[in-house]
Amino acid sequence: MVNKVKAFIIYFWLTVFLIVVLFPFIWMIITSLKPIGTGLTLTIIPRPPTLSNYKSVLTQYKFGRYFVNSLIVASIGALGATVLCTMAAFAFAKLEFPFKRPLFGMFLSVLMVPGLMFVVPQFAIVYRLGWINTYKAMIIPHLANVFGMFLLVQYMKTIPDELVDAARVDGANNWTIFLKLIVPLSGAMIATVFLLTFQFHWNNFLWQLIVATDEHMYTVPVGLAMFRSAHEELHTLKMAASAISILPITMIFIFAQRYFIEGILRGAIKG
Amino acid sequence: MVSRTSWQAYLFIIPFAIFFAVFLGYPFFYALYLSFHKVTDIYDAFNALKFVHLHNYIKLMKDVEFWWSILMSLLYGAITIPLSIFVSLILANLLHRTFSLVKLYRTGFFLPYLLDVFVVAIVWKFLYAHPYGIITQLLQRIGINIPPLLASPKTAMLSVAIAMTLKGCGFGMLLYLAGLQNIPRSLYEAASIDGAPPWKQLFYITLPMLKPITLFMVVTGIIGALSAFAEFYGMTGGGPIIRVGSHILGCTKVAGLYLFRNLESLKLGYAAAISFVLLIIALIISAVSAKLLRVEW
Amino acid sequence: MRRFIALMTVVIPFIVDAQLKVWVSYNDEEFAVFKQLVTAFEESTGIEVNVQRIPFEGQEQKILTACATRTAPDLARVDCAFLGKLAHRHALLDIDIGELADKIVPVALQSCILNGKLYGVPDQLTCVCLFYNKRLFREAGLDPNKPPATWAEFLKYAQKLTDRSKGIYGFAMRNTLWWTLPFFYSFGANFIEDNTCVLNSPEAVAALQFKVDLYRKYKVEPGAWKSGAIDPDMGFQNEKYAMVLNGPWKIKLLKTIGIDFGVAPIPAGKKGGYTTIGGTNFVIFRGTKHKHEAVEFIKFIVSKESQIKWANELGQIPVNMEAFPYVDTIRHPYLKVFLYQLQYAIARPVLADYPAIEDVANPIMEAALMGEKPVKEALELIVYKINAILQEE
Repeated sequence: MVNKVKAFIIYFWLTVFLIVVLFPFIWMIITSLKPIGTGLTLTIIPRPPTLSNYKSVLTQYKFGRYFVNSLIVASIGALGATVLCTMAAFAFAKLEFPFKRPLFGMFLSVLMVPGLMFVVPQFAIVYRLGWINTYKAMIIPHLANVFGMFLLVQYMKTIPDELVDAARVDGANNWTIFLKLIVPLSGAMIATVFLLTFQFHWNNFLWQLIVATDEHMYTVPVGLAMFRSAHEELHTLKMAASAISILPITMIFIFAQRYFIEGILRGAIKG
Repeated sequence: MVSRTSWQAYLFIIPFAIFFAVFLGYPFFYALYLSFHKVTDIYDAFNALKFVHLHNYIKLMKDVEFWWSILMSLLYGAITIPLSIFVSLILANLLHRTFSLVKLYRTGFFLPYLLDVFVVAIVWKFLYAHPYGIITQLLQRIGINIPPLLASPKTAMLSVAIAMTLKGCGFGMLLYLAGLQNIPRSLYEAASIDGAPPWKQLFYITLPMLKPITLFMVVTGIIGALSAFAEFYGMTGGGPIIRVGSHILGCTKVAGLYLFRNLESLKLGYAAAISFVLLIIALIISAVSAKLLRVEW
Repeated sequence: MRRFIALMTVVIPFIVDAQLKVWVSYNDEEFAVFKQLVTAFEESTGIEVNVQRIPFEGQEQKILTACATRTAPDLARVDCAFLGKLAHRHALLDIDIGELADKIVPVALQSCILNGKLYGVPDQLTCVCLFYNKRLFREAGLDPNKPPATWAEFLKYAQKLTDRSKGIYGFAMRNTLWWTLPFFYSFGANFIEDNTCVLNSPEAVAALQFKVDLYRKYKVEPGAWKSGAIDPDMGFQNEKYAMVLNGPWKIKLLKTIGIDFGVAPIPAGKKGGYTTIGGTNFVIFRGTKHKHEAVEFIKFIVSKESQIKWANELGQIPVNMEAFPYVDTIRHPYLKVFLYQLQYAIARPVLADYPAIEDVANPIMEAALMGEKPVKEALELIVYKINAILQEE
């Protein structure tokens, strides 16, 4: 009985906190249901609620095309980056090799310089390679995802070394350990890195704008920026567009949640 | 010893390293090179460079506004990092179990993390607005009168920090939830047999086992704080002002805003120098944090 | 002969094989009209135009990156502040549009001239006027068809309109330099003379003092300039602020929401009711290989015919004065006020780094508004800091 009361109190506060955390999101949805031009009104409930913003977003621009572009860039980009990150992270977390720490330090240092500084030289490279206005230009420069690699290294460090040692005693080589032990055990975090890289590409406005020289190559964030012109802020449209744009990634999260949190082989470590 | 030293490890690193070298390594060194130069012709940012020695760095050292912006960024980090770690840990521990609605809660807490920072900043600006914003109105209804949160020097930074913590805590929760999976259950079982109460298990088993993730939160938190831009651009624009001696400074004028300003002014060499000072500061703080947490990295 | 003409129409496009690359950041409505103009240009000259529409947000970075890597288009549409940056850094070619220059609204054209050379041609022109809420005027017992003509009258109106118990304020303002210029100008102050900032004149002090007094002394202004406050746009749309300064871009939205509002010229100060201008200009980048065609394109866009179409379809101020008599003021009644106000407007200086100037001026003006610094002292500091920036270039 005491436990039940305790549980109730905990989940009561958890729910209150959830509402607080979700409030901006809820507000975003409410604003997106207000008639165009009234995004700044102080009324809380839209009168009358309208779906016209969603309709405008989906029909006014080539939104379908932007969506497909974004989907291609984000999924291939995320897949590639996740594979590269996972491999490199394994080496840093579980292997010893010469220059390990300086190399890792160098990778991390780059993470600490604001990305805005890199835009011009990155563009110069992409231009020299003749990749302007291609998916390649949007994907390849961001394949080396230091943030994701760092995250995976830190996570793989929480995997007990004894497991790796045991496998080695059984005669497994590095590839076997990587594929059969580390990857399954890191499933949750690998999925998370995939999701984060996907999200990074999904929101990567500036770079995608700069390398696209044709409206057919525009992506969702570039399309969304069209809702803002010099003076007017079309808040209602912007909020509707934001709501639409997070839809795919939310779906991925909801449907693949067990991979993110529960891991693929949950029972692997009973210790 | 986990494994023997082996050159084979490079096979795992090389694919990553190649893309890194071309698309991050080269720009990194270009930026470093740029920080000792002045761009003289915007139509040729690669060749028309004038070598100015340490001029950019010397100017930076004397720049009051720059150091102030660093200070504000650090203050921002000092609020958001511990707060997010604290909130994320609590959430992860409460949601690290199975009950019918657990997925709903996890999704709910994580959802705001997926939203664009700038969009969230605009929404929060609206929620905080005085006197018609929803927060002011709600608090007024229950009899609490609050000052304009974003316009008062005492509360502006805190308000932005709270808004962003609420947005980001779901990510920390996710990391800790994943980390909790890797703690061998035998450790807890052994502790229970020894009669250790749950809070002791938390402090002596859970937290130490999660240290690498905490370090990740701290390091990326510092990087995030030093380059934070969109939340301040959307919510405060750097204000409100405060007088410090003879200087008039913005209470939320963080390093990210300062860097953006200089890039906007096309002071590319100077902006590069700013970036490298930020890098050094981030490295120092990260190293100190690793030492304090006693985690190797 | 007929065969010859037929042959020529086939051949000409191959002779003139220039393809102009143009980047523009128009909104939906403007872009639709712009596309029609482009088609008309292509048909009349045979020059092919490749238009890329880019979002307003992020356009500076896109253009700058393109310049740094020599991949800029032939032409782009940029705002006044950005034009200054580009012109000072030699990214632009000077433009000769011949006699047409005399037909362009002088203040707009002057805002593109640096060292006697023309670096851009305005394609869109805006200026700031006084917007007032007619319903609130009636409620306060004021005549909604008689907006204030002088700042003294304006203050009286604002006091009548303010009803703090209802949260209604007579006026709401912004604190940025650009939005403060109409005050400075109409009080008779100058902004920059001979590359030196002169905002410390007695007239400038009086102008800023007036703004400070509106907030601190008369309390007819709610502090809409503070971070996180209900800004003038939001407050005016919600009928909380009775008067605000605004531009023609806001008219359509206010009509859509159904606000009963009027537009009036800037109230007169010592000098008269002067305003500041804004807008965008077409510029030609240094790397172009089609300068001649680019100039032709610009000439076409600012021609009388194009501008009449532009003004009437979009309800915007035409940049070509020859189009003024053709503006449909019945369809666009507010435009009449803006056209009048343009006679009392002051050009923007072409500066190397206008945003940096805003960046130093705004916090200091905020300190004056907060009562943390006397107005005179604040302006001296602003002048000192702005001059440091101006000399740096």
